[in-house]
Amino acid sequence: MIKIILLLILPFILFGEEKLTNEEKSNLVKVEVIPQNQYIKNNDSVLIAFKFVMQKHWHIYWINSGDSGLPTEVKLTLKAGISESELMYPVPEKIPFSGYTNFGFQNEVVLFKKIYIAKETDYKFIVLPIKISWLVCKEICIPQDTTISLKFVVTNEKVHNVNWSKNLDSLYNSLPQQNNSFTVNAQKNKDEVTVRFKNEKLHEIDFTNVEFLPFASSIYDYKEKPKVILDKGFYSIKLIMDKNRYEEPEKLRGILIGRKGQFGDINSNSLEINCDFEK
Amino acid sequence: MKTILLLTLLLISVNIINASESLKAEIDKTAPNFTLKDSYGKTHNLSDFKGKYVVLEWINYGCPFVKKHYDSKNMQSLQKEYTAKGVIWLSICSSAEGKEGNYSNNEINKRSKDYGLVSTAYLIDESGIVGKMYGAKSTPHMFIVDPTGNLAYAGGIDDKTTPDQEDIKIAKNFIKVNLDAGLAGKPFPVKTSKPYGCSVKYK
Repeated sequence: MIKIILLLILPFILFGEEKLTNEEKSNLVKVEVIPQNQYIKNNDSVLIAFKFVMQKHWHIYWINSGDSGLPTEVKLTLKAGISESELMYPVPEKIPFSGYTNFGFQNEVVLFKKIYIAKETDYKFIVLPIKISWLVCKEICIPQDTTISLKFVVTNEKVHNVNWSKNLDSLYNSLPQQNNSFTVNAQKNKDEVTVRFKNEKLHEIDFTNVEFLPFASSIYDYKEKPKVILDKGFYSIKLIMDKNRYEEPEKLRGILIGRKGQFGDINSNSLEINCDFEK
Repeated sequence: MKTILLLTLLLISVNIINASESLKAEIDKTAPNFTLKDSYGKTHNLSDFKGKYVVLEWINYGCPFVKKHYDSKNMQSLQKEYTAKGVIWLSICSSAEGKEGNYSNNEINKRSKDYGLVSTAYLIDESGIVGKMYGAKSTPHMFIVDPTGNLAYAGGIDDKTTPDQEDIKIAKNFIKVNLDAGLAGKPFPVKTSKPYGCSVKYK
């Protein structure tokens, strides 16, 4: 009898998640779009926050999703005179699976984007259509997207959006920092890339704990955390490239991750790297 | 005596490491051989197909990216076109027991029939050994072995890394461009591309 009950239940245990209702699927990720200001001035910018709240144990992906998955994306339809920044992601979590690694976010994450308005425009207001797409995964994956429109009044006033919380400021400030006081160089040699960095101002800080995560997916092998060694005043990290990589990177882009404040800014634990390979 | 024994053990362990490394699939090198049973219980060896192009397609019927290419009949039309031209097409499922995509043979055959799968065989790699050997990370993840037995292509099915069926119409299909070139006696124009999709549901 127990066997019969188990046999009846087993398919639901094994494949129950495939049978999520549309309502359950739509509740997996809640997205909120919050502009910092509702008014925008010519020759100015406005910051927009994209807040994702995931159901427990489900995750969405970083700009480099890792060994599978898809990056979370925000696409704006821009009118003439309006431009945008790249999407800004916080430091992701490593999500391992069977010897491989994904990079993503569980529970809650806020991504940011800035839009810029040119010096002289005739706009009285701007309607900004935004398409947000993500892949949400646990044991299974579900691609999802949503489209919304934001409306900004073009004026000389700058009125703060009451829905913009201090927490959003704090999350924005904790994004990977861009600190020009670091000297960074990268060398590519067959299947290896060596990243070297130093900071004369922060020379007393030990950086052997840091880790580098690249923005490009399917180029580097993430199986093991590369060691950081101090060599002739530079900290050096050797990255192993995937032998079946689909392209030769022309630049090294990614983030160095360490402790909060380690890279100079007390709010951030990471440093954005963007450098050409040395010839 | 102890030293000789230790050296022997060291040599053996080095050989084991080298052997496992040599079993990793690498572009332009001999594709590692494997033996797997299909969903009808028939055994297939990769080496049996030497002299022909062999497409390896990592599959999981539950994955939305696989559904993109099966619901649209894109995958089946590729299978039909190229198997008719003498290409061997092996769909391989590395989903572990209890994971998405791991079905009984009857269920696989039913789903394959419903989808109109026309690959040469649907192979079961429940242990994931073959998947790991080829570095299959996502479904679909595609590989092509050339008639000399070398791995000639590894990557995605196309250049539109989305789950959207509409993108198939505007995508550059790497399996098509490579097989068309190969069958015409020309080198593959694309040796590697970015694989995309759900993770392979290994153990």
